[in-house]
Amino acid sequence: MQKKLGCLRKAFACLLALHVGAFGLAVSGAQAATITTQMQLSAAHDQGLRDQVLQALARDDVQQQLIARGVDPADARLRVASLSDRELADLQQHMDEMPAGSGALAVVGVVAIVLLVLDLAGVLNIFNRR
Amino acid sequence: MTCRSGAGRPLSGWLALLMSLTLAGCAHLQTSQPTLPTAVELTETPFFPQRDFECGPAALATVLRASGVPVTADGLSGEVYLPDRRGSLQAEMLGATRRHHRIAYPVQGMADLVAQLQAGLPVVVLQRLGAWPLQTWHYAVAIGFDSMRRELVLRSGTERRLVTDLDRFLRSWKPGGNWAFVALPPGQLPAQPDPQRYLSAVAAAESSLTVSQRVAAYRQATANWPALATAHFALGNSLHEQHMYATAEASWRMAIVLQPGHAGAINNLAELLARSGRRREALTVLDRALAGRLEPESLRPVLQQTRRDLAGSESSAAGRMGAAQRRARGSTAHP
Repeated sequence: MQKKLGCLRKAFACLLALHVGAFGLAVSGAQAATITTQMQLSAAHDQGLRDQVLQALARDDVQQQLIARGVDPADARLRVASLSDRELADLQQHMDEMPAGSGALAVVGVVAIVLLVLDLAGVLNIFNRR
Repeated sequence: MTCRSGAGRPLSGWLALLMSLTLAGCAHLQTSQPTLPTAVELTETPFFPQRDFECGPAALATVLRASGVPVTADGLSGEVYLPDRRGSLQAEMLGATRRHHRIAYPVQGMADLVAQLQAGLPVVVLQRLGAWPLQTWHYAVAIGFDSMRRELVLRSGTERRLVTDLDRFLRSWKPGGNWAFVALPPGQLPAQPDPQRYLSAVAAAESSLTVSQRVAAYRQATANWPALATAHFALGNSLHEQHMYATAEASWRMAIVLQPGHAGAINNLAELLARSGRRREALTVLDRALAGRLEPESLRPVLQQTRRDLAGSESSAAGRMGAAQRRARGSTAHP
């Protein structure tokens, strides 16, 4: 992730990190004020609070990943906006390993059956490699 | 792919018994099934035949339309389809549901799935179809279940009514971790609702819902689980955003009564008290809470910061004397 960060984003992150560090506050920058429902729930059920700075970067990073995988930039911005903190973190780490439901089985299934029949009939030798 | 047994009912009954005896591997799944005979089919559920690799938009359109959102599969393509992966990711299916003002509530297990169907909610499921090396992930929508025939009815791909054998379905459902969800209109609870799962689902949808939708969703939670502190806390947050300060305060106080160390409720109540000219009371609330255990403890720094902010603004209002006195008394012992 670090490699992907542009100079500007790095500087922004450093500034925010400094700010957070200076005020001894692990949660958010200026508005330490209100505790949101998601903060309460994720703090209670995850191991701890994810830094707001990291969250903002994760959102940005996932958005770039979506664009890199063919999503229209305008759509990508809306798409990441409705993801939860945990979903963003998961996508940021494992987008390419996650199942992507496509379900083109009608075609795949027919091909598989044809291959299997041919294989069983001894025309091909795909499924029993000996 | 499907087995529609019309003739020979007694024989197929014996076969089913034999099969269920031999399928010992699925025993843990069978125990979670309802014991009474069940037959349900949501025949009114719309159908969007899938194009190309777009089972995600099709399945999503099916449940959204069923819950009253006027969408089409084509219209949803730009919201969930990931061109380079030729498919749709699970998280994005949930995200798109929220964008259309619906709460994506995760369904856990077969009994839960059947309960949702009985409550009239079609269920999006993720299946792994085919056999190695020709496997594919697929979203379908469960709309019916028959416990006697051990069959599930799906809106799937290009099939409007796909009847599939239950054990075959369970095998296809398992590789994706039995992943499934329903789309709830705000203010409606799922069948057999789980409090934590429901609250997390609403919280994840917060940024997409209007404030009155949030209030409606959390009000259902407090009505259904009156002793659940976090439900009152969440309702208080939404009421506060609606500028309903008195009812927000009452909700947060209720959360604290139910769970004296509830970090979120204490913090937000103290803030509200301070802003409405009751700083002393705010500090008392914070100090009492900080002296004991907080739930969760990891939010302690936020409460400490709030206390510093309030003490600071009090000293500027009440003059330097008070602040100096408090400093002299030390930071551990509070009045």
